Parts: sequence; structure tokens; C-alpha cells
Amino acid sequence: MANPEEEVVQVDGPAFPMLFEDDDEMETLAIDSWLNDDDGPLVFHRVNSKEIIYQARKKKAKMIGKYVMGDVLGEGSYGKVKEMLDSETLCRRAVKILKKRKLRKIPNGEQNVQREIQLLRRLNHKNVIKLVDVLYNEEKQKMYMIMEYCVSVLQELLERCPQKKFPIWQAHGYFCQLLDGLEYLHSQGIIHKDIKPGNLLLTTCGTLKISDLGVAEALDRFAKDDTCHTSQGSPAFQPPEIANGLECFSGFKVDVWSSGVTLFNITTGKYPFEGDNIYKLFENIGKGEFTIPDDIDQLLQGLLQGMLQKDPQERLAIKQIRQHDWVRKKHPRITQEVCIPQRANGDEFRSMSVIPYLQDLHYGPDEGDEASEEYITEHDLQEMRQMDASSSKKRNKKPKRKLPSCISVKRFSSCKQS
Amino acid sequence: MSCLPDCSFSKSTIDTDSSVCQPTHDESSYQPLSEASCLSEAIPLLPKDSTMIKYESDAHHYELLSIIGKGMIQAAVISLARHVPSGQHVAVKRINLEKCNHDLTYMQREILVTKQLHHKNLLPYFCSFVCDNEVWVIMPIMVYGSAQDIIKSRFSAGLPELAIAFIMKDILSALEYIHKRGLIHRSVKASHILVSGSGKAILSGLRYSCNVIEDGRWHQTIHQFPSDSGSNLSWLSPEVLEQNLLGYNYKSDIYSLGVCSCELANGVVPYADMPPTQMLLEKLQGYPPVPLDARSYDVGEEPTETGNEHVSVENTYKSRWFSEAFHSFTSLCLEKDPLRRPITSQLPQHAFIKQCKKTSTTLLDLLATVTPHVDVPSLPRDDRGIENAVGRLEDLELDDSWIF
Repeated sequence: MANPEEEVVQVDGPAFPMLFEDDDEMETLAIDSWLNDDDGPLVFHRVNSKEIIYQARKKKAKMIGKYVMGDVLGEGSYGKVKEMLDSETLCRRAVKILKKRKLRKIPNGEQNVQREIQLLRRLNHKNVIKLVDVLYNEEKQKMYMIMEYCVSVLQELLERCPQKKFPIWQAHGYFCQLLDGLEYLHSQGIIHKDIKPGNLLLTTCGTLKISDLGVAEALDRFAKDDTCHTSQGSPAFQPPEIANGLECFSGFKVDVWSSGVTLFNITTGKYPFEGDNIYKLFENIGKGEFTIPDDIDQLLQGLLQGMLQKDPQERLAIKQIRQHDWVRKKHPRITQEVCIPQRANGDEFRSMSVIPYLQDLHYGPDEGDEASEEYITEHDLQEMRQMDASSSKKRNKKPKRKLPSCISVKRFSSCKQS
Repeated sequence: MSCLPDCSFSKSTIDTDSSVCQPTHDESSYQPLSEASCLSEAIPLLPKDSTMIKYESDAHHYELLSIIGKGMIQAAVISLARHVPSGQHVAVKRINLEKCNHDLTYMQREILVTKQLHHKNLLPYFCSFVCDNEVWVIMPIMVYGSAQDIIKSRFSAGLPELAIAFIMKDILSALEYIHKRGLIHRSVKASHILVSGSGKAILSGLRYSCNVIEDGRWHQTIHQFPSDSGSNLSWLSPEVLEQNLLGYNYKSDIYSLGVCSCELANGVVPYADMPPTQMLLEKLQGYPPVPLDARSYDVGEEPTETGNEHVSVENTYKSRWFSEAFHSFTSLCLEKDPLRRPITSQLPQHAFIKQCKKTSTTLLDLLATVTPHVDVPSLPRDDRGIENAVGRLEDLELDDSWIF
């Protein structure tokens, strides 16, 4: 620590200068070794920005079956979600990449994925995410779940809203779509168990799609009611019966409760129950006492009270929610709609991210620029950012066109269509 | 004197009939099908034949003569048929419901939408009904087949410019009509343009259309990607393909019209030689197709090693000149930015379309070398043994033509 300017973060021996590669294998190794490094205390050192070197992101075309890989859309505990393009129909898709190695580390990981695939395969509703294809790569121990493409998550949009709440009419629209999707799931004997804004996706036209059926439960075909025994959903959205540790409970009413918390959250910007840790949180949920902000109108207050009834028997059923006046009411569009925000890279319209990869696929890499752009330091990046900020935005930069002389498509021989 | 009341009565019925039947002088003006939906029939009026024909929803009324086309990925067969009660020739599209799986909703949609529309440049359906495992759709016969058939049979280097202008004029009129009714066609292409015996271009293929009115609201933009349109990709506009938050509107049909006019001019489908992903790149980067002539044809672009026919097509490209107006028309339609693309009602005023008025030539004169697809009297009579007819009609293009 004596000479901070020259100290370097040590990762697996003398790893200076560090190379951040755009390769998920490399990255996971680095992170694993970070987290699993038991030798000595973890110390953070200051590093000169000129000494952090990035390898230029070469957007190399990669194909999985007939799909062209695009940029990363998000990341979960199981792996990444990337954008994809069906090279035959040109339809945008999203792919959940699951790594066996990572799944084993998550409790019930592999089982949950298998169940999710089974469930999604038999579902077909406008407000439930569709599974398009499942591909396996035995060699790499990866699984690809190819799904409908969604541009955003309700959570992301919510965070952009003033006071983190939607205009009432917009929230009403989403809530009604949630009811449609949920009613369908229940009609199919499926209990989602993890309804929350983070699991509600949005398409380009604003259609809401219930996603992530990883912890969902399908009732037995001959089950006489909707009794469930387990729940692995997100704590803040769990009902009192689960917080109090009941052994069996009504599954449908669990989804009603978490939809209630979701409605509370998107209309008030707050959570009905909070707690510094999960024990405190569950204690509060277990009591079932909460307050609704005063600025919420009486009708909505009534609905929230009905959905967040501590006693599942008293709690409204979906049919009753549909009949509720707040749901049936037509809410005027008096306030401006909150729109899907720009991507971090400034892309206003959430356009296809596969274009640079297609460029590579059809016209090959740009030899001219390669030498100059291969390595960039953090220092350079900062300067570039400043340059970008000062200069006016340039969009629609015309990429160089080359004649389509040779077209080679790399395919993974080990990728089998399921 | 006693017969007078009778006479006047019969006269008045004739009057009402003619008022129903003669609002326009077009061969394809039919009573809207929706009004007679319970009977699922309509009253067509042919200029040479003023008798009213009832097309019954009964397979026994139609004598199938020969197969003239296939469509909907082999699930549909289009036959020439004789309407037995009247002796009139009609086209019958028979869709095998067992062979067609996901196309079913599209087919239903096409029938529903077509029934609601009534325009001289849109293909009407006389009636439709179910017969065993097939859906039968009765339509007027389009003797020249599709514009794609015409190109394949006689114009391998493309149609003459004036012929394209005639076709575009008619198709624009049909598009203006459907756009006003909140429909986007989404598959304007040569195989969806049919040419009637009187030389009119008729638009078909409403199967892929979408409605901008949903839940009682007129949407400014549509985001839904036409999921079943693998065969239409070359004609789709960049904004449809992009599938981003901007969405698209009826102007995407104008782009398709531009691609289609290049298809008619060059005799080949633009982008046909490349994979869809590369076509997407070309469109998004703003490299639209062009009508090939001495000015636009780049000799160095393709090696001249293929057969004689290819060389002759190439020579045709190199030696001809399209008018300035035609080049301007296609480049306007193919503007990448939909905001800079003209709206449907502006295009009929374009010099390229206006040249149709200045000439006494008709589309039929220009297509004189084409033998009508369906030479009615000479066709072999054939009851339902359709298989026999296939052999005899092998020379006809059956792959993608006549997609009604």
C-alpha cells in the first residue's frame, strides 16, 4: 500500500497488464477465482488508468444453430441472456444461456430449468413468454433457451419513472395484462410463485409477458385443489402464510398476493412490507399490517386491501379482482406515458444488436482498423468518453461496404435441435 | 291494357337490378360479400355478360378442369373450373386443411378481410365453403396469371417500363383503398399481382395483412413482426425488419412497392442471390435495389460466365434506358427513412404513373406476346382426376406462382 500508483490487483499470479476479453469463459474464471480466493484478505489497490487495458470488442459473428448471436441483454445467476436473430425468418429472439457448471451451484438449479422448459413448451398466451426453441451443446455443457424477444423489463421502466411509480392509467394497463396472463397460467394449473416487476417483460408494442417460470409449480392433473408446499420466490413478494412458515397453502392466492405487492409497488413507488434483513421482512409480512399512501384513490386502496389480505381465504380471487371497479374502470390518459429508456450505449430505439456481427459474418473483419483498435486502455476510454460528450451525437454512421465476395457461416456441429 | 301494370313492374325490377350492378363499368365490380354473408355468395357482373350469376356454396356446382397453380406452401391448389349452372369459368382455390397447419389462421383472415373489401383492383372472392377436408374459395379467373408468371414466361429481363407503370397505377389504387381502411398489406410482390383478361392489375395476398385498428384505437405504428412471412422477406421494408421501438406503418407497403417495381423491371427478385441476413444488412445500410439499365448496371458486379440466357439478359440490361421518372419513382419508394417516403395518395401524381394517361397503348398491347395462362376453350376437360392434368401442364410455373 506504500506506493499505490504502482500496485496492481493480483489475479492468479502476475496478471499485469490485465486483459479483459469479451469471452464469457475467461470472465467467469476470473470472477470465480476472485470469489473463491481464500489465500489472505482481499485488498483493493489503486491502479493507474493507463494500466488497465481492454482488448477491443471484436464483434465476431457466432452462430448457434440457425441463430446469430447479438449483445448481452442481461445476466442472471444461471448465465447470460443475449439477443439473437433467427437467420431464416429474421425474427428477433432472446436466448437464455445456461451453463451446467453454474446451474449445479444453484439450489435446485437443474431441476428448475427442466421444469421451466416443460411448462413453457405447453403454454401459449399473449401475456406469457413463449419458448421458441431449446438447443444443447454437450461439448460446452451449455443449454440455450430461445425465447420471444422483449425490449425491456417492467422493473427497468419503473426505475426510470418519477418517484418510481407509473401514471395510474399506465399501471392499470400493465396490471390488466398481468391478470390476463396469470388467469391463463392458473387455468393451466400453473402457479408462478414469483410475480414481481423484475419478471414482467415488455415487447416493443408494450405487451406485458410473464416470464421466469423457474420456480413455478404445475399442479397435478388430478389434484383436488391448489395446495402447495414449497416456495422459492422473492422474499419481498411472499405472502404471510409463507413468511410464517406454513406447511401447506393455496397456490393461486400466493400469486394474488405477489400481484398485489406488484400493483402496490408500481402505483406507489413503495413496498408494502420492508425489513433490514429477511427475518425482519418476514416478521413484518407475517403480521400483515401495511399502510397505503394517502394519495392513492379509494377504489385502488380497496383493491390493494383485498389482494393483500393476510388470510388467504379472505384474499380476493382473480375472478373477483376482474370484477373490481378499479380494474373495470376506464382510466383517462391524463399524464404522459413513461417510455422505454435509452440503452446505456445511447440507442434510443432498442435496435438490433446483431448488426455488427452480421457485418462480420458477411463482409469479414475490417483489416484496416484492426491494428489501431486492438488494445485500448481505460485512460483512452475516458478521453474518448469526454470527446463523445463534447462532440455532437452522430447517429446512422454508414459502415463501410464491401463486396460480398466470400460468405462463410460458422456453425457449431455439436449443436442439436431439440 | 291489363298487361300494362305487369310490364311496368317488370321494368322497374330491371332498373333496380341495373342500378345495383352498374355503378362502375368494371368487370370486377361485385356486390359486397358481407351483405350476402348468410348466403355466402355474391353477384358478379361481367361487361359482356349482364346476367346475374349466383355462385353457390356447393362443390357440385363447379366442374374442376385443370390445375393452374399452387400456393400456401403446397397446401393450396388453384384450379380452373366451370360453374355448371352458368357455364362461366372461375378459379377455385382449394386449401387442404390437413396439409396446412399454421397457415390456418392466415387463411381465415384472408377470407374475412377479402369479404370486407370491394375495389376494382383487389381480388374478390365470390364465395367460400368447406368441402370434405378442403376449403374452397371461388374467384374470378385471371387469365394472365400473376406478374411473376408473365415475367417467367416471356420477359426474363423484366417488363417494359410502360407495362410497369400500368401495373403500379392499379396497385397504388388498391393500396390507397386498403390503407384508408386501416390495413397494411405487408406482401406487395409480383406473385401477388394478377393480371385480368381486360388488362387490369389486381392485388391479392391479403393473408399477410395487418390491421392498424386494435381495441377500437387507430394505432400510429405497428410493431408486430409478420411471423409467417419467410417468403416475403425480400420485399419487407427496413423498418419492419428492424423490429425496434419505432415500429412501422402503411408506408412500409410503399417500400415493398418499390422492391416490386424493381422485380418487374429486372425480371429477378431483388436480393434473391443472398442470405436473408445479408439482405437485412443491405437494407439497413441503405442500399436498395435499382431498376437495371445502361446507367445503373455495373458490369463488374457479376462475372459473365453463366449460360447464354444470362448473357442475353445482361446485354438487355446494358443496352436499355429507363426514364428518369422511373428511377426517381423507385428511389422515392425505396427511401430508407419512412418519413421521407411519399404517402400512398401522392404517388399517382408522379410523372412515372402519369405517363399512362399520355399513351393510347394498353397493358394488353404490351403483353401481346404472352399467351394467356388459361386458354379457356382449348383446355382439356377433366373432372376431378386432377393428377392427370398435372403432367400436361408441367410447362407451367407452379412453384410460387398464383399465390392468391
